[in-house]
Amino acid sequence: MSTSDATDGIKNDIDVMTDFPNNNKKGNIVEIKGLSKVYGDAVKVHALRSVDLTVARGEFMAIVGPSGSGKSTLLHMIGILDTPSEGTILIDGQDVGRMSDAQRSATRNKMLGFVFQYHHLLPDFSALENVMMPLLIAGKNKKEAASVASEILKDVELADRMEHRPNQLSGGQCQRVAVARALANNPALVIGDELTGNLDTRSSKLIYDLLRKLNKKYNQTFIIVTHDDKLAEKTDRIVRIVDGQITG
Amino acid sequence: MYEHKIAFRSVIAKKRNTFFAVLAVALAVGIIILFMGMISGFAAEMIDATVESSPHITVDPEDDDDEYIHLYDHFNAIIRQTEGVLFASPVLVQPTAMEHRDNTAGIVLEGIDPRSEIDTMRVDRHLLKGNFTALERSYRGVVLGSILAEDLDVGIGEKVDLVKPNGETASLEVIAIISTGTPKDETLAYARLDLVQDFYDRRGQVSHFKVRVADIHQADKIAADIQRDTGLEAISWMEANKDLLDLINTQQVVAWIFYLMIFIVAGFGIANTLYTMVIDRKKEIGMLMAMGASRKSISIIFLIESALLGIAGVLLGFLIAFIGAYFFSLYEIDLPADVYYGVSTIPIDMQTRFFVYSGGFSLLINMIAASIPAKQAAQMDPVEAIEEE
Repeated sequence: MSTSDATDGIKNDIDVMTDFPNNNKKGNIVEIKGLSKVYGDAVKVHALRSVDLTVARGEFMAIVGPSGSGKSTLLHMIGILDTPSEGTILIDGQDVGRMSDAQRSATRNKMLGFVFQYHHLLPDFSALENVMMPLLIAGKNKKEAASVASEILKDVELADRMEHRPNQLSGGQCQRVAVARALANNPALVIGDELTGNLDTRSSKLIYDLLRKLNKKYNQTFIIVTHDDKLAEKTDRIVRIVDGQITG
Repeated sequence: MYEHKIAFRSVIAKKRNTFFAVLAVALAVGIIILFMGMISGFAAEMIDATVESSPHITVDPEDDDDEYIHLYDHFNAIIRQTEGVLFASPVLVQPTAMEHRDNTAGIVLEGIDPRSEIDTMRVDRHLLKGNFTALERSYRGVVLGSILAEDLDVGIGEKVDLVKPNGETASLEVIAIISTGTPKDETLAYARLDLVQDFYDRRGQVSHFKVRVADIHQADKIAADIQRDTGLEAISWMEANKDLLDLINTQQVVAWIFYLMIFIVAGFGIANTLYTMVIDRKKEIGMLMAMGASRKSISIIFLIESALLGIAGVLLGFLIAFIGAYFFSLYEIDLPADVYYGVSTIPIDMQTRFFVYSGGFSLLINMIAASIPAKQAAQMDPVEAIEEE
C-alpha cells in the first residue's frame, strides 16, 4: 500500500479524524538509553539491565520473551506508568523522567493508548461511554467525544453494540472496545500488553488485523508485548528480552 | 467534568453499597435531630413548668433569725411599684395539722390574699372542683390539694379542722380542690391570710412575698431592684432553680458529645463504604490513570461520591426526623410526675437550626472520613492496580 492510498483511505473511512498532529512528525517516537529498573529494598530484583531501544514512528513492533524477563516492565516504562531506576526515556523527544505527575498524566492522555490483557472497561458505562472517556479526560465536550467515539467503534465493527455495557458484550467485543478506547485520542503510540492473551484464535486474529489496518492507515506506532509467536512474526520487528536485557 | 459522571454512575450502579451508606448517614442525622428536638423540648417544658409553678421572684425576710416580715403592707406597696413587677402576693406559711373525722394529715398551710395569689401564681388554672375565688368572700374557707383531699377523704362543702400544737382548733369549710400535678398536691392548703394571721397570732406578718414579673428573663435584675429598695432578700427563679438550669446546660454538653460520637460512627460507615469501593475498583482506577486521569481527579471522584452519599443521607435523615417527630407527638408516655413536672407526652421542639447543625456537621464529618480512602485511591500505583489479578 502506497502513502497516497493510505491517505485516501483515511479520508474515505473516517471524516471526523482529520487532525493527526501526533503522527506527522519525523524521527523516533521512543528513544531509550541505559534503562535499568531495580525492584525491592533488601533483596534487589533487576527487572531491566541497561536497555537501549529506539522505535521509529509508524513501526509495528513486538516485544517477546519468557515470563519474568522484564518485557512488561519495559512496556510500562514506555507507557509512563512506571519510573526508571536509571537511564532516560524520550517519548516524542520529551524526557519522561523530568515530567511532573500532572505532565505524565497529560502525556498518557494525549500521546499514548493502552490495551491490556484484561479490557478493564468501566463496568457501569456503555461501550460508547467507555471510548469517550479518554476524550472527556482530555477536556473535549460530550458531543464531540460521542461523535469521535462512535466513529472509532464503527471502525472496530461495533457500530451495533455502542449502547451495550461490558457485561453484555463477549470477551472479544470488550477487547475491541478497549482497542477503540486506546485509539480515541488518536495517540502517536499504542501499547498492548498481552492484548490477545485472553482471546480465542479467531478474535485474536481479528484484533491483530484491526491494529495492523490502523497502523497502516494512520501511521500510528504500535508496541505489543506477546507470548504468541505467530502474532509476533507478523509484526515489522521483534525485540527479544531475556533476564532484563535485549538479546535481539 | 468526567469526574462527576463517573461518581454519579458509580453511586447509582453500586446499589447495595449506596443503600447502606445512605442509611447510616440518614439514621444518624434523623436520630440526632429527634434527640435535639427532645432535649430542647424537655428543657423548655421543665423551665416552663418551673417558672409557672414557682414565683418569678420570692422576697424573704432579710434576717435569717426572723422567719417573718413585719409591717408587710409597707413592703407590699414598694414591691408593687418596682419597675417590671406585675403582681405581688403576700403569704404566711404555717406548717400544721389538719383533721377530718378520724383522718389527720400534716399540711403546709398558706395564708393568702386570694386575688393577689390568683394574679401572681395563676393558681385558679389548677382548679379541679369548687370555686377558688369564693375564698375572697369566705373567711372560713379553705382550698385543698387534690391528694390531700383524698387522704382526708373530704369533699366540697365539708368541714376540716386546723389543729394547733396546744390542741386549739379552727373549723374551715372546703370550698375548692386544686391539682397542680406536683408533689405539693399532698400537703397544700390555702386559707385567707387574715384567718391564718389571726389563728396563729401573727397579725401584720407574712413569711414572704411571691412576685410576678412581665419578662421572666429580667427576673434577676428586678429581684436586685427589690432587694435594694426594701432591704429584704429577693431571689429570682433563675437563682432558685440554679441546679435545674445547670443540669439542663450540662445535659446539652453531654448531648453534643453524644452527637459527635454518632456522627463519627456514621462517618466511618461512609469511609468504610468508600474504602470497599476503592479496593473493588482498583483496576478501574488504574485504567483511568493509564487513560491520563490525574491523581487529583481520582481523588475528586471519590470525594464527589462521598458528597453524593452524604447529601442523600442527610435529606433522608431530615425525612426520618419529620416522620419520627410526628409519631412521637402521637405517643403518650407515663413519666413520674415528681421528676418531670407534669410532662405527659414527649415534648419535641423542632427547630430549623437543628436541621442545619445536624446536616452540616454530618457532611463535614463525611468529607473528613472520605478524604482517607480518596487519598488512598489517588496514591495508587497504576501498574500494580492494573496488573493485580
